[in-house]
Formats: sequence, C-alpha cells, structure tokens
Amino acid sequence: MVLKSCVLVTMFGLFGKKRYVVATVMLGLNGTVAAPLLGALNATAREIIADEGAFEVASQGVSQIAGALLDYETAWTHSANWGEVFNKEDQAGNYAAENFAECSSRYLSSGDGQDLEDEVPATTRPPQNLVVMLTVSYMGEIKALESPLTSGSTVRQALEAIMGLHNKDQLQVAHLHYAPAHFGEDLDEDQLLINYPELVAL
Amino acid sequence: MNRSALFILAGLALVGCTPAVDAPPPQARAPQAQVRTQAPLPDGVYQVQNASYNDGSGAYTVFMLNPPKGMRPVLETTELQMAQIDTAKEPGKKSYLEVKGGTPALYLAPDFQIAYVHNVTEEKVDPATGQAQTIVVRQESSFWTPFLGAMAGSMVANALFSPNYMVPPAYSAGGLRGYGGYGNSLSAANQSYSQRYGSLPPASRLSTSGSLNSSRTSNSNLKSSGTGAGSSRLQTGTSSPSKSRSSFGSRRRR
Repeated sequence: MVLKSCVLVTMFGLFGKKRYVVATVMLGLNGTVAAPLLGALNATAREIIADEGAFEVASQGVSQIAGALLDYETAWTHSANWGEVFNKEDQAGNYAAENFAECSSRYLSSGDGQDLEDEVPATTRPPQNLVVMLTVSYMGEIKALESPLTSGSTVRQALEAIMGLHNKDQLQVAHLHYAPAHFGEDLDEDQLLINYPELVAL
Repeated sequence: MNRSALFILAGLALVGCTPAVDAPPPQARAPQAQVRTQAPLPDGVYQVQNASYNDGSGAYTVFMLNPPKGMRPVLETTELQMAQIDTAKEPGKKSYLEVKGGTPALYLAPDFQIAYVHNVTEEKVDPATGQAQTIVVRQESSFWTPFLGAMAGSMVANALFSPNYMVPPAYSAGGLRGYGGYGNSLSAANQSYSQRYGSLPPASRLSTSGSLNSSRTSNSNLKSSGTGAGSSRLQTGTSSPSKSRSSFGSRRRR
C-alpha cells in the first residue's frame, strides 16, 4: 500500500504537479417555484448525516441535488461560484473544511437549538428564496466548474459536470448547504442580500 | 521626499497586513468539533480522575483531580495525544495529563479505561412538523483501553511511550481494545485508521451544521435557518499555506 502510493507519487513527480481543485457552486432559486426541492434537500442531508459521513453517500447525495436543481431551471434567479486550485492534497482538504465553515456561517448554524424547541413553525407559506451551495473537489481541470457562472447555460454545465464526476467516482469532497432549513421557514430578500452578497442575477 | 517615504511605508504596512486577513479562520475545524471552548490549560502535570471519548464529535473529556485555581477540572478537546506510562521504569505511576507548550498529552497506565460514548442515530418523524429527522436516539456506553495487552506488541515501543494521536478501533459494545489508528498528527492517525479499515473514522468524515434536527423559525433574524452536511476524502494537514494556490469563479476571494 505504502509502496504503491510512493510509486504513484514518483510518477506524478515526473509528469508535473498534481492539481487539486475545490469548487463551490451557489444557486439562488425562487422559493415559491422551488419549494418542493426542500423535501429532496432534507432527505439528502438526513442520509448523509445518518451514514456518518460515508463518502459514497455524500457524493451520491450531492449528485442527486445537482440533478434536482437541473429539473428546476425555471426557478433559478441568481448564481455565483468560487474555488481554489492547490497542488497539495492536505491544503485542498484544509480549504474545503474552511469553506464548509464559511458556508455554514451564512445561516443560523449554532446547532443545538434546544431552547427553541417550543417554537412552532410560523407559516406554511413557501420561502421567498431558496439558496443551495454545492462544494466538490476533484483532481485535474474541469472548465465548466472553474469559469465564472453568470448565465443559465454555464450553471447547467457546472451541475452536469458535478454529476459526471460522481458517476466516474472522481469526487473527493461532497458538501451540501441550503437555506432555509425547512418548509415553513423563510429566506427573505434582506437575508439574501446580507448573507449571499456574491449572488448575481441570472 | 519625506512624505513619499511615508506613503511607501504605509503601503508596505498594508501589504504586510493583507495575509492576516486572508488567513484561514481559527474555527476551520469547527464543523467537526462541536466542543465547548475554555481558556487553555497552563502547562503542567495534572492527575487524571477519568476520561471519556465521544465518537459523534471525536472529542475527549478529561477530568482532573488538581485543576489550576479558578478553572474547571475538565479538559475538552479533539486533539489529545496519548502515551503509555512505561511501567518498567516507573512502576505504580498513576495516569496523568501533561500540558507542554499548550499541547495536552495523556499518559496512561496500561489498564486505564476511557469511557466510550457511542451515538446511535435513527430517523424519526417529528409529530409537530410531520418531517423525518435524524436524531441521536441513544448513547451507548462502552469502554476503551488503548494500551491493553493485545496491541502493545504491534506498536513499536518508542511510539508506545511517546505521545501520539490515537483513533479508537471500530465500535463494539463489549469494550474496545488497542487502537484503530495512530500517528504524530490527527490526520496521520486518521490515515493509519483508514489503511486498516478502508475508510476514515466516523468523527473525521462527517461535517454537519445547521438546524436539521431542530425546528426553528427565522422571524426577524438577519440570517435564515439552514442546513449543511457533507463528507470529504481529502486528507487535511498542517502544511504551510501554498504560494501557488489560485482562485477562480464569479466572486473575488474575500
């Protein structure tokens, strides 16, 4: 095992540096149209948590959400993307962990919420907005994920690229974030502007 | 002349400051380690009353008999090194916690048992919202003896008696013995675990955040509710920040 990885490292050493890419796609959707997506998002997040981080489950989940987002193209309102390229795996891994924390900071993520258990969901109206963030990592170069996502067609290509990477078992990181957390909770225009400033209207 | 020199100096000062702004936030590991923070323990040697490990957060809780004045007698951390007390050299020595340069290390007698808290999760439907939720239905307790007999032979002696990061073996209800992985960093320990079991230990793979398990409303908050979950198979480490990293995308790096 160790010997094998040594040989691999040497081979890559000969052919140039490895390229680790961590890329995040952020998509804003019209909540009224895309509300049913919350069900799929909740189910996927539950699966990932239930399987205690089994990577295949997370990879599958992120790919499924990319597919579900493609089904709701008519609801897309905003998009943004960002990422970093590294030549060391642990630096990419560290950045992915930082990026997870950064994405989490955009919504209420203090987690335990025990003192809020008595609160009843205020409305059964769909949220005004829905934001989904997908972070993936892969080795190599994929133009569709590394160019600015500023149009419907570029977003479509990026989501398809994520599904393709999953199908080839080439994802190294699969992170999913979405807000609001449940049906009955809102993400209003102000919250969208304040917490997701990089979103650009499609 | 003087003024332009001042401008250059100011410019240099600004350049000097920028990396600090870009530096990774200190809570980079936060999603994995939901551990209460307290002031760091001052360097010293503390007697250990008992210790426990929670496999949901990967966090150790160590109770001390002689905490420093004004501090809780508890150390909670995900980064704890462990070593066995060399009973041949120091017979009868009790287990202790040593903090050196801010890094805590547990020195344990070979038969020392760490309480092991295993989280059993299940999907349940919340009667209030009708939505299924993943909740920790119960915590099973077991125990873990990292340095008991069986493994001692398989670990090189100097690795045994000098502090290393250790990951417990896969959970079993009847008690855990030995180690799942060990190394001189948490990521090396995780790596060694994954060579043995083919996957990373539970606590190091799962990232979660947000309110999947609580139903909270957003009323007048500046932030909405949200949920995050995911997994990574990239290793993380402590190598210095890369100079050759490059950014892409529609937003500029903040």
